[in-house]
Amino acid sequence: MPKTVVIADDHPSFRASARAILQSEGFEVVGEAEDGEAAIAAARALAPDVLLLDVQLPDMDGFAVCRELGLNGGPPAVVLVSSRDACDYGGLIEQSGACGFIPKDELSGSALSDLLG
Amino acid sequence: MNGRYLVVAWCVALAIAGATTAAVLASDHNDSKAATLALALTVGLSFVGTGLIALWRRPQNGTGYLLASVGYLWFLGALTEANSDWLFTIGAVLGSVAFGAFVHLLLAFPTGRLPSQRDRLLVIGTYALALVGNAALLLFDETPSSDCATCRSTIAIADSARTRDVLNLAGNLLAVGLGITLLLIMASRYRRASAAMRRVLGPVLASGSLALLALLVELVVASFSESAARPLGYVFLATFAMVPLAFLAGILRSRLARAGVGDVLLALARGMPIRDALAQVLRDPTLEVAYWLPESGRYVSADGKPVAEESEGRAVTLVEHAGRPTAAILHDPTLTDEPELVEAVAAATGLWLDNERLQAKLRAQLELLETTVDTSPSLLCSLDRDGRIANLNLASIRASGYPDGEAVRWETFWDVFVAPEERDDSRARFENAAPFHEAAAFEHTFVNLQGKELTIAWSTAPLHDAQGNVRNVICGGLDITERRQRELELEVERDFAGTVANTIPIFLVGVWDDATVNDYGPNPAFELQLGWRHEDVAGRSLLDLVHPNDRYLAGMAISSAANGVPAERRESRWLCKDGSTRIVAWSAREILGMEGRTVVLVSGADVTERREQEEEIRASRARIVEAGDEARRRLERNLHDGAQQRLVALALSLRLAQSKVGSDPAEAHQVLESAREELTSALDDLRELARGIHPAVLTDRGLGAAIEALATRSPVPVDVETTDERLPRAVEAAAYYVIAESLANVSKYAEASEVTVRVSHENGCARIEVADDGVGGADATLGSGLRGLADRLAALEGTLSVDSPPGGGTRVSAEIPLLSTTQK
Repeated sequence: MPKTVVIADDHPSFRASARAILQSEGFEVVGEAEDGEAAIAAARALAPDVLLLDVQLPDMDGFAVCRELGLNGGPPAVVLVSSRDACDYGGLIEQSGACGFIPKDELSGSALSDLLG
Repeated sequence: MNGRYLVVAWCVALAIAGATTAAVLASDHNDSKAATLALALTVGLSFVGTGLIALWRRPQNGTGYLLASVGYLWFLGALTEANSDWLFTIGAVLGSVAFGAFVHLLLAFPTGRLPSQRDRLLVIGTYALALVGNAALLLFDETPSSDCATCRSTIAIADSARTRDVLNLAGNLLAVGLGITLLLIMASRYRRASAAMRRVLGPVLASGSLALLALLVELVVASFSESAARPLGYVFLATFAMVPLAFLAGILRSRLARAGVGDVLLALARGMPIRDALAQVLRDPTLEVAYWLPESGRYVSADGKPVAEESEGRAVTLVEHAGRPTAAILHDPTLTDEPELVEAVAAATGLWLDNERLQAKLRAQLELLETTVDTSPSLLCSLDRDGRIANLNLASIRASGYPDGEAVRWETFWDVFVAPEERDDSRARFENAAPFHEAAAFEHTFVNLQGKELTIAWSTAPLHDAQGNVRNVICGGLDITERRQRELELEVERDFAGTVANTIPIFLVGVWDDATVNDYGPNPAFELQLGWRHEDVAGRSLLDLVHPNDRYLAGMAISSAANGVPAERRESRWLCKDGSTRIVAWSAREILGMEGRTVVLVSGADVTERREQEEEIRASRARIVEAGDEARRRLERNLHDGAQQRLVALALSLRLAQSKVGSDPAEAHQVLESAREELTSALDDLRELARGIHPAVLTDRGLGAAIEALATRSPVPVDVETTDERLPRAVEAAAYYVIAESLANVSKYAEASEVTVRVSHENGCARIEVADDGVGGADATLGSGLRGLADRLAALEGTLSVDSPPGGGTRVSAEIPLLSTTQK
């Protein structure tokens, strides 16, 4: 059974590209969110296996979304993405409870699978 | 000395003389009793008698005692005539002691005291020689007397002719040495004596020297032949006996001189000056007469010059006439030995001296007047009725530049003291003033004979003769050249200081040490800057004008300045008359005030605007920095949101296409197609972004081309007037952004149908103007965009203004100077 994914990003072009590339590699994109509130709501409503979460969202950043979701090891597995480099965020990524970070331009199904293990 | 003692002493002398006579007459060894007796009595009694007379006449003088002593001791010699060997021996030992007393007398004359240590030693030596010499002879010679073979020395211990001869020779040599020394001393004493002293010394020294000389010759001759010396012995004794007569002669002489008092009156009657007459009669050519001036309480000489009452080596006899001091006779001190003479002469001449005194007084007054006139720093000139200089004082001679008073005397006043071109006027004035020559005053400048320019203030007044006619015109002048010069210099300084105080933009105000405003200010700048007039603040504390919070420190600064510690420049808030507060940089410093009161000069300048400008510059810098930060934030966001997102999407699309190219070429083709569009959009975004950072066309082709590009993109039609000239880069950039921002505002808010952009370059200044025909009413305080531009312009020392009346369009104007150093 394919893994379910919610893509949270404020850029429609990225959401479209990500959906296309993930679906082509066997993920099932069950929802999209264009800001933090929507991402939290979608994660709770849709309970996806994976939340592909952009760090920079218009209303709150990805780390705040992680805190709000109160990640405790259970689903969804949050994978942070950004067009910036991981090192721009220092230790924030590790402390967020997310299971990994993928630079946006390196996103692929296999990269995501590698992170999810 | 009491006369009774003198009589007793004389009786004793007569008794001794009697005893001597008896001894001589009874002598068994004297062949010439008459001669011996005559000489012994004559010498002895004459010395004693003269001594007693001297003591009677001058009891204080020791000379009398010495004279009498010689006489008494002389009689001891007669003991050698006694028939007893014991008496003979005593007489032989003591017989010469009288010579000791004689030498003592000569050296101590006329005061009776030995004047020096040398004299005292000589006298002691003589006494010793007289005693010891004779005693020694008697010790070694049993029959010492050549005349008397039976006369034996009772103290002889040996009888040695050889020893006796040696002792005799030694004694004689010593005696000769002593005698010569004595002669020399007396000769030098006579030579150094004053005329009056010589008169006293002369007879005594002459007879004494003669006696000594005779004694010496006798001693010398006796060494070779005793018999040859015998007549010389009589010569000595004769001269020796004359010595007291010489003393007597001196005494008689002074008594006789009283008769000369009459002569002085005769001499005066014949017209001899009184000093000369007195000098003649008192035989003291150095005599001086001083006259008593009771008004000034001092003595003056006959020509009115002051005389010191006491001077070294002079004695003073005061003369009184009609019960008041008249004169003082300054004479040789030896004349005090004859006070009666001096006093008799003084009493006799009292009337003459009083007359002389009155004349001396007149002369002294004249002298005082002359001295006063000559030492006066004022010029004093006496002119005759023709205007010629009859007399003038030293100050006038100096001012005239003539070498001396004689050279200038009888020149006319105007020839000496008036400049050539004014001489005729001066002469006319003088002649017009005749005959009364009433008092007048005038002032003029002339060049004197030495070429020195002088300014003199003159005042003139007439001097009348007994008939009331003008005899002389007295001119008194004061040399005011230096005062004039100083006044001029002072005026120049005052003018300078006044001009400075009135024109400098710094305010000046003088206060007393309690900060009360005084009359040394305030200057115009004070009113200009703070609005307070002098009458508003006069008498008030300057501290009232200082903001209460700064008042304490301001007061400290003023009082420390009043104590001589200049207050450093400080900034305080001051209150203006209109109630506003200004920031003033000021300092306080003590200056010299009139009446010795401390004046503190407070100087200050309103620096409020400078402070505001500095504050504005600080704010402007902060805004520039903030604007830069904001621009970078926007740039990052634009890059992130725009080009970067598109490139991310492009990367993902390419990856997708890659994965599809094998399985689904059609899908891959479609993905690639969208990727190409994505890339085009990304490039557009980047281009737009780059233009926002800095328009390339501005760098490459200048402001004109850049404005054309802006106009092309503007939705509102733009009319451009610009110059092809390249301006400094910073100016071009600032102008570009002003125009770009203004055009953006026009398209956003103005609802305009046309915009005009003008760039011109005049007077070293770039002028930029963007005017539209829109609705106007734009915020004149500048929106944030224009505010940032204003800061940018301010950094280039340029200005920006917005004129936007409602309904009247909007006009944005900027001016940027081209030569600023910040435009590199």
